[in-house]
Amino acid sequence: MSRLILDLLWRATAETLEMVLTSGLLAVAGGLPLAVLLVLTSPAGLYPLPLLSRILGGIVDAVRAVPFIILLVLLIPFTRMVVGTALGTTAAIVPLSIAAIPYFARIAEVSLREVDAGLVDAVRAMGGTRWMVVRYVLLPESLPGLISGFTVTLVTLVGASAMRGPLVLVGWVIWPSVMATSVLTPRLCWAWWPCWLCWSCCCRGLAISFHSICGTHTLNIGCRKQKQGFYIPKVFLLFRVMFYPRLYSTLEGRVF
Amino acid sequence: MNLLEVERLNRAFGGQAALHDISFNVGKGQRLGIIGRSGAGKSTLLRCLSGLDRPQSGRILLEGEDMATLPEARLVVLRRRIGLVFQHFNLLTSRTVAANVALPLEIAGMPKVLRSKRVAELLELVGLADHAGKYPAMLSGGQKQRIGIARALAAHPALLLCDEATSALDPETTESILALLADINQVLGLTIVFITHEMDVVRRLAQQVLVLEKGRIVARGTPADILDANQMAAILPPNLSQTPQDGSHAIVRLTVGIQALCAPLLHSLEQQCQARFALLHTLPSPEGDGQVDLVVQADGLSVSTMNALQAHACAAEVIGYVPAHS
Repeated sequence: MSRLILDLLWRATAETLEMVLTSGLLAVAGGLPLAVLLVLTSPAGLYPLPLLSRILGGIVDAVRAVPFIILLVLLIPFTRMVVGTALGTTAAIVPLSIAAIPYFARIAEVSLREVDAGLVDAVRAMGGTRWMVVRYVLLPESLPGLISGFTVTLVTLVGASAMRGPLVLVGWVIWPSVMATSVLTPRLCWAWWPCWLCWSCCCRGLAISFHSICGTHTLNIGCRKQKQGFYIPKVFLLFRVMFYPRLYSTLEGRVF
Repeated sequence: MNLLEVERLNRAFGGQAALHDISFNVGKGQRLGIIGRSGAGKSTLLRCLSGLDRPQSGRILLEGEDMATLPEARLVVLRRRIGLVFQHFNLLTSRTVAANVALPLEIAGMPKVLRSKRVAELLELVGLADHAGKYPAMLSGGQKQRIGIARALAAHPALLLCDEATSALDPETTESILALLADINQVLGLTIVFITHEMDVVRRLAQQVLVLEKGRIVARGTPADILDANQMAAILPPNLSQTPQDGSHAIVRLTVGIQALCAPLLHSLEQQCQARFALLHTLPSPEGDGQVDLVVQADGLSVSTMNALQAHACAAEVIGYVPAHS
């Protein structure tokens, strides 16, 4: 393999690890307390606050229901606020964590709920406070489940960290081609949606395989070029598309 | 003063009464058994007694403090005066045997040095001193229950509550666990309240028994009384009434010495009492060895025949009456 690819691989792997581990840790730091809170405040829990439990559960489900790619875009202003930019590895950590916190919280909640109620009773009957129940029973007894939940979260994060690639593709390739199709052949307009679906699937597959070759590098390419976030005028995007084939062919020429 | 006083306890779940006007006392050092079928309210009662659940009304006084109305913060501390032994042991799988036994001490805030000393002492007491470093999953059911008992005893409780402590064990292990509990009661003078659905457990361990049915106490007394009443209830005909009617037969219980059975007892009684007897059942007498209870149906019984019966048997009492045709 050429020097360039090795370099890309090395950089991309390091960046993937950085993003996934940081946002994974943030997911545990945010998700675990959230899961404990969800379990404790549930109607049958140790500290029943059904209203709070329902509100928290609603927020968690709402965030989880948003596709990551949409969340990424929605969070651009927030990301800018937190890390000062919406581009680059550090910036990617923000939406990744926001998406992973409720994800891990739900997984951890299931593990925590699976702890035998008898053990909770045992510690309560010994005169343990609720905090002691969490510390001596809930956390240690659900640890195996929490760890496997954490690994599942990490794997999901690796997948999600590739999402900025397709975001760029959607912006640069699909929209212009769809526009072009509808402008040039108005009669084929009905084929708009199937076309779009096929395209997005292809692009996503392409982006993911690209990602698997050189890690998160697509993300960085995407970030670097997408200076104005998602709000780049469409015409401008059309112009940008011209860069893409050249990039691919360069890479292909080097790889094969 | 009684260690535990329960007064007019009521607990309902969604309008369905689980416990109804339960009242009883337990003196210090006593062993009280609570027996009932599943759904009788045993577990609900035990949860109330252990402070895990609160009754809707009534009082539960443990050493003079009312568990039913105590605020949660003080109830937490009061629970440390109670040791609870579970049917399914409820040992923490992530902790070793020693750490499981040490848990109540950790909760009570005992320093580590004292803790390990106490744990060693307790494991010695339940005969599992060489299993301290093992995990619960490596132990048998009986051993797990011994650890459960050691854990319940750890923080020097005033009251030991056992929730079907032997129901998940085989008969031999049950035997040894019951012996351990009786031993603890004798040696430490610890008060034990246990619930069970097995008459055998009650017979072996209890000094006093409450029989729970549909959330009410339907009988109380010594195990012998209860056992006897239970056996009688199984024998007696369903149409038994407490008042004699025209031409009804009396059901009489005779307690006689075992050697009396060697002679044609009923025949000679018939001749002496001018009545006819039909033997319904024989039972070992709760009075003690060497005596047998005979349950007989007597036809043509009068006051003078009863006197004659009492003269010939150790005891005779009329239990009830059945219509003549039965």
